Amino acid sequence: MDNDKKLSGEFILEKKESSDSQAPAVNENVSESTHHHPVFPDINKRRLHFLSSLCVDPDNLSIINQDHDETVHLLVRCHLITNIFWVLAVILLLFLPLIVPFLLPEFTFIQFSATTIISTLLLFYLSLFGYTLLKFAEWYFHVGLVSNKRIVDVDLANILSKNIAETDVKQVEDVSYVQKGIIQSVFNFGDVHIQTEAVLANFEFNRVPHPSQIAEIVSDLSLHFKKGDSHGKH
Amino acid sequence: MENIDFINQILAQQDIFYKIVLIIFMLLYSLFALMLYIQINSLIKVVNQIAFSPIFRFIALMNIVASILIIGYTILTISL
Repeated sequence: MDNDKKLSGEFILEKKESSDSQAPAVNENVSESTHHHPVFPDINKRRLHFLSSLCVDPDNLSIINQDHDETVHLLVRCHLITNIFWVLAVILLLFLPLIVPFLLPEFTFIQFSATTIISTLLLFYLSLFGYTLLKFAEWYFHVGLVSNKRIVDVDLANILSKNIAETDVKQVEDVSYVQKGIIQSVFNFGDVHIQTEAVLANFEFNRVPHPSQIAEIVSDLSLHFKKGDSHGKH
Repeated sequence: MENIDFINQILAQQDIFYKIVLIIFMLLYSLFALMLYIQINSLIKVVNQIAFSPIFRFIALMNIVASILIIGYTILTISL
């Protein structure tokens, strides 16, 4: 008799899954971790790599103080194009040692040994590498995250100062975005402002790609989890 | 006259003086590399991309190792 009950339970679950796959309509009773987002073809889904500036439902990602039932639904970083100036500077500086031999004959009193020149070159290229690493780290860790529980905003002004702010995802009141200028319009990036119920805790995802779609996703996620919360209370 | 002699002395041993300055810069760079490594390590705990974080940590560590190796090379070749 017990076995029969178990079988019927399993059958019902299977039936429910198949009906979900046939009709992926918005289900109010869906669990928080299995939320379906609006589909945006330009947005990377799940395939998170080290140059990802936008990823929906990223795999292989954990965040600070993450609960066992917490799932990250959105990861945003500044658009890759915002790195163009320092990347160009590094590329130009790579070739700087090539022009030095043409300048040295002007200064005849400078006479360095080969080992000194090698040491200088090594320090120069290592410094360039360190600068690249620093700028990459500044971009990589300047991140906005939206999970089923909270919104986390990590701001890294420089290597010595970091600002990590978080708020409950259900406290989101209003989501808006701003795109200014030709470059932001051409490359489709801008600032997303997330207004919360708290007076001072407003969040900004700066220079992120597809700001309209991010605003829609954040607002959709917030609404979804608010609904989930009100259903849970009833 | 003494000043001119002093300048001549520096110019005669400019290689060694320059290397001492280089070593000071290298030490400063090592400090920067260490700080960068510590910050990357602490920030990886905030956002941990499981596939990339170990590589990032390794690169930051290699930066420190390379800076120490360059200091070693410069010190060893100071009299050459």
